[in-house]
Amino acid sequence: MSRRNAQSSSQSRYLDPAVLAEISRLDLRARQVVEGYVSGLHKSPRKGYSVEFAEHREYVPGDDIRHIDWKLWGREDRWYIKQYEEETNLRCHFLLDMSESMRFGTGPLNKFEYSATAAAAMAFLLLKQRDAVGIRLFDDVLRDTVPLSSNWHALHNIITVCEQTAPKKKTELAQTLTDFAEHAGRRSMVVLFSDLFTDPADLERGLQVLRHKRHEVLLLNVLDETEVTFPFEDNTKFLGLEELPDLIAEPRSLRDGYLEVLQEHLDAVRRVCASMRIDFILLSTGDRLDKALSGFLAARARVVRSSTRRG
Amino acid sequence: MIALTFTNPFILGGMALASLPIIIHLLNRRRFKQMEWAAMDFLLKAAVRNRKRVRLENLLLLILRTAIVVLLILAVARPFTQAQDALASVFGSEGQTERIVILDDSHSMRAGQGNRAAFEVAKALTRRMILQLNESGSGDRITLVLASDPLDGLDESKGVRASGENARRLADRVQQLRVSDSAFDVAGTIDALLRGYDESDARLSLDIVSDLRRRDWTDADGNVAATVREAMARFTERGEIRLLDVGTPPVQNLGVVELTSRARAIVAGVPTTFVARVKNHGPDPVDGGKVQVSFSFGDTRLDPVRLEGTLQPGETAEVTQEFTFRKRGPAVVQAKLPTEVLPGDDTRRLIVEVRKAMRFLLVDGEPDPENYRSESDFLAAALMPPGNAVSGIEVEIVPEQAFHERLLESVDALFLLNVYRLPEERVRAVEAYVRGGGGLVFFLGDQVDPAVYNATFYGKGDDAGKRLLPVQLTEEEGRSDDYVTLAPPTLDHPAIRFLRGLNELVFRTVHVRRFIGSRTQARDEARVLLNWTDEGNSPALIEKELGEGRVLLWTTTADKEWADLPRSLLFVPLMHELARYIVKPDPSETTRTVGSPIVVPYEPSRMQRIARIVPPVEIGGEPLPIVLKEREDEKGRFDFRYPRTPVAGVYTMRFKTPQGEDREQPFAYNMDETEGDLRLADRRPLAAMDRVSVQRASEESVLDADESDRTEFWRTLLLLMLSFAALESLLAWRFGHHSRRKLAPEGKQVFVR
Repeated sequence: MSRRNAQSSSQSRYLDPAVLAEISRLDLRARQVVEGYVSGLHKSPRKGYSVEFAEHREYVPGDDIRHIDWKLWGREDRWYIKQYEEETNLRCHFLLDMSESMRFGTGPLNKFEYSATAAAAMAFLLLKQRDAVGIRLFDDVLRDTVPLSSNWHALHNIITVCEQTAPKKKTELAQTLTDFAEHAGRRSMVVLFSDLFTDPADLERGLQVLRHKRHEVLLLNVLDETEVTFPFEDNTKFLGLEELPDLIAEPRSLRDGYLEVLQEHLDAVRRVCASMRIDFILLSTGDRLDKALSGFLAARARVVRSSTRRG
Repeated sequence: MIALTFTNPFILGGMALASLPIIIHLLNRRRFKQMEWAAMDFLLKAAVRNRKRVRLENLLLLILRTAIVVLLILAVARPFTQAQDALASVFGSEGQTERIVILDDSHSMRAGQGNRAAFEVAKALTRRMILQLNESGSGDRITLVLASDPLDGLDESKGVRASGENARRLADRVQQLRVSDSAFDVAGTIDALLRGYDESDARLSLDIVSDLRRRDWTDADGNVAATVREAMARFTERGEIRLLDVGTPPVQNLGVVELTSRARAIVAGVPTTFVARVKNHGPDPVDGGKVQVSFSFGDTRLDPVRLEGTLQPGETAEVTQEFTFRKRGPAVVQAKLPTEVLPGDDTRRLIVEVRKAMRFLLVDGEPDPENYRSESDFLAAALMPPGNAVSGIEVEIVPEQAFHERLLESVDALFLLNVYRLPEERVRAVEAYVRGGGGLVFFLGDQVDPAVYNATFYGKGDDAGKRLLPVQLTEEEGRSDDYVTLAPPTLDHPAIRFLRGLNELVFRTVHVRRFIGSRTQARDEARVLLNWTDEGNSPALIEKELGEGRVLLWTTTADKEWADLPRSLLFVPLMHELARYIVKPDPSETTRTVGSPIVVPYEPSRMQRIARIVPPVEIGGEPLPIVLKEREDEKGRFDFRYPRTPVAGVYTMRFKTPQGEDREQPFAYNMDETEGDLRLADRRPLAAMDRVSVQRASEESVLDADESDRTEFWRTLLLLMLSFAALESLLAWRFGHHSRRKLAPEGKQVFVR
C-alpha cells in the first residue's frame, strides 16, 4: 500500500511543468503525464479500457463471465452482463498554434512546449482507448499534419512533428480554422491550443465554421504565467512579436491597464465560446497539467456520450 | 515688507539638488531591461489607455520629490523673518537714500548694564541695520561714521552701497570696532559730515547710535546744547535724524581729572610735588579711604596714596605725591585709580621735562669784585649755595653793561639788581622774553631813578601799566632810622604760601631801613604779595603776570645796603620759592586730549627730517613714520604732523639730531576729563526737536531680537517635507508599486449538453 502511494505521488509530480521540463523527450513527458494523472485518480489503467458503465443486458452464453454483475444476480437471480461504454470510434484533432507568440515563455516551458506536452498526453490517453488522433499545426496557414489514426504510430508522429517545429509567423485563426474544417471530414472532436492573441471576431468566425461542421471543440487558451500576472517591476523595453512594435514602459504603472485589457479580451473570448457552447479552459504555463487533462477528459466524455446517444 | 533671511544662506546653493529627482527620472527612462513580449497588443492598448494617467502620476511624484529636496534644503538654510519693529521699518522706505550712521564710540559707551557695554549693543544694532538694509534690497547707500573720527570715517565705508559682500564686510568691520578714548563732539561730527555732502543733493537720513550722555548733548541747564541744536537743525534741512538710545543709567565712577606738578620747572635732584585731582562722577558718596591713587614716575612706581574723607557725588579731592627725579630729560608721570567701568578716566598722564637746573641770569647794577660787596653776591649764594648742596639752580651774573638780550635765550628767569637803566630795545627784548614765559625779578637800590623806571619799565600814556613794572614807583622813599620788617602775608598766593603759619618772629628777622614807595592804580594788574610794617603798610613784594611770564618787584635792595634781608632766616627759602614761581615754565608740560593731532615744528638745527611716532601699545605700539608738512599759513616752515591719537596713552616721537644722536619726545594724551560723567541727557528736549526722533534701543529689544523676534520656519518646513515624503510613498505605492490586481477568476467554462 505504502509503495503504491509513494509511486503515485512520485508519478503525479510529473503534472508539474517545472518537473516535466526536465524531461526532454516529449513522448516520455506525455507518458509521465498520463501515468501521473491516472495514478492521481487512484485507478489502475490496467483494469480496462473503458471506465464508463453504460447499461445491463441479459447474459447469453459465450459472454465473458468476468462481466457478470454478481450483485444484480443476487437480487434478480438472473445473470446480467455489465455493459460498459465500449470504445467508440472517437476522432480527435489536436490543433496547435505555432505562431511566434507561442514561442514566448518565461517559465520552464514556453507556451508551445506546454501545449505540445498537453496534446501528447491527451493523445496518449486517447490512443490507449483506441481512439483516433491526429494533429494539425498552424500559424497563418495550416502547417504540419499527422492524419487521424488510432495506431500507436500516430503518437510517435505527433511527437516528432511537435519536436521538430519551431514557432514562427502570425496567428490567422479565422482562415486556418475554416481551412481545417474543409478538410477535417466528418464530425470529430477538435482540441484547439492557442494563446488566442487575435481578434475575438476572427476566432468567432473560425469557430463558427467548425461548429457548423458539427465538430465538438475544446478551446485551450494557453498563456504564459507572466502574461497572466504581469509581475515586472523595472523599466523594460518590450520587444513586440508577430510584427508588433516595441514599447518602453514602466511596468508597474501599466499593470492594471494591461490586466484590464487582458480581462476584456478573455471576457470577449468567453462570450464567443459561450455563444457557441464551446468548452473554454484558460491555462497558464505555470498550471499543473492535470487541469488540462481533467478538462479534456470531461469534454471527451461528453462528446462520447452525445455521440453514443445520437448513435 | 517682511524680508526672509537665512541663517545659513550658503546652503541655498544646494538648491541645485532639486534637479536630482528630474535627473534620476530621466536617467531611469534611459535605463531599461529588454524582453520579448507576446501579448504586445494588450500592452499597447494599455499604454494608450494609461498614458495620460501615467504622465500625471509621474509628474505628481516628480513635483513631490523635487519639493521634498527643496524643503529639506530650505529647512537646513533656516529661514526666518524678523518681526517688523521700529528699527527695521526705517529701512523699508521708498526710493534711494544716503543713509548715514554715526556710531558713538566715545569712552562712556563702555558703561552698560550687566556685562554688556552700551557699545556692544550699539555695534550689534549698527550691524543689524547694515545687514537689514542689504536684505531690504533698496539699494540705499550707507555711510558709517565713527564719532571718534568723523573726518576719516571707516575708510571703506564712505558711501558703501549696502549690498552683498560690501555690506557683510562693513558689518564685520563694525564687529571689530572698539571703544575709543575720546568724547563725542556731536556738533563737530554732524558738521564734518554735512561738509562731506555739500556737493551732493542726495536725500540723507541720519541715525546716531549713542548713549546720549548729558556731557555730549546738553548744556548746564539740561537743555539741548546750543551747538548741538544748531548742527542738528542744519542736518534736518537735508533729512531726518533718529537717535538710537543705548544709554544706561549712571554707575559708580571715579576719574582722575587733573594731574599737575606744583613746580613750574622740574629739576633733577630737587623734590617736586605732583597733585592729582580725583572726581566722583557717580551718584553715590565714596569713602576716600578706599580709594587709592598710584603714582608712577618714569619706571618708578610708588605705593598708592589714599584719599581723605568722603567724596560726595560731583566732588573733587586732591592727593599729592612728592618725587625727586634723578635723570634729566622728558619723563612720564602717571596717576592711576583702580580700574572701574571706564578705564580711560582712571589714569592720567603727564609729561615733564626734567632739567639739570634752572638757569637764572643776574644783572648786577653795582658790581664789586670784593666778596659780598656787589649787588648780586647774596642772592647768588642763596640761589646756588656753594658746596655740594643741590639747589637745582644755576646762576650767571653779568654786569649791567654786559647784559645783552641774547643771554636771555638760555635762561629761565632774569634778575635786574639795582640796574640804572636799560636801552629801549633791550627793554623790549626783556618784555618779549617775559611774555614768552620768562621770569623777571626787580630789586631796587640807590641807582634806581623812579622817574626813569616808570618811563622805561612802566610805560607812558596808553602803554602805562602794560609793560614790565607791576606798579609805578614814587619819589617817596620809605626811610627809617630804625627799621621796618615784613608783615606776615594775608594773601593766599602760591609764591608765598609756605610763609603762612610761620611764627611772626621769623618775619621780624627782616630788617629794612630803606625802600622805594609805589603807587598801585586801578589799571595795574598787580598784586601786592608782601608788605612792610611801616605806617602805610607799603608794598614790599608786588607781582604781575605778563603774557606767559611773571614779574616780581622787590621795593628794596638784594644786598645789605638798604636792608638786611639777605641775613634774615627767610631769605633763602623765600628766594627759592620765588625762583620756582617765576621760572619759565616747561613748554612740554601741556595737557593733551585724545583726538588732537601731534604737531612738532621742524627745527633743522635740532632734528633730522625723518621721525617716527610710537603709539601706545593699545593701538599697536609699533613705530610709524610721520611726515613733514608745510604750514598752510607759513610757507617754508614745516611741521611733523601725526593726525590720529585715538586712544589715551603716551605717544613717543623718535628722531635723530643732525649729529645722529637718538632723541625721544613723549606726548601724554588723556581722555577728556568730563567724559567720566555718566549722567544721561534728558531725552525729551531732544525728541521735541523738529524731524528728530529718539528711540530706545536696549539690549533686549535689539540683541535678543536676533533670536526672540525671529520667526523660524525650519520646523514647519521639515514637517511639510515629512508629510510630502509620506505622501510620495503613499502615492508611489498607490501608483502601481504594489497593485494587487489579478485577473478575475476564470471559472472553467464547461458546458453540459
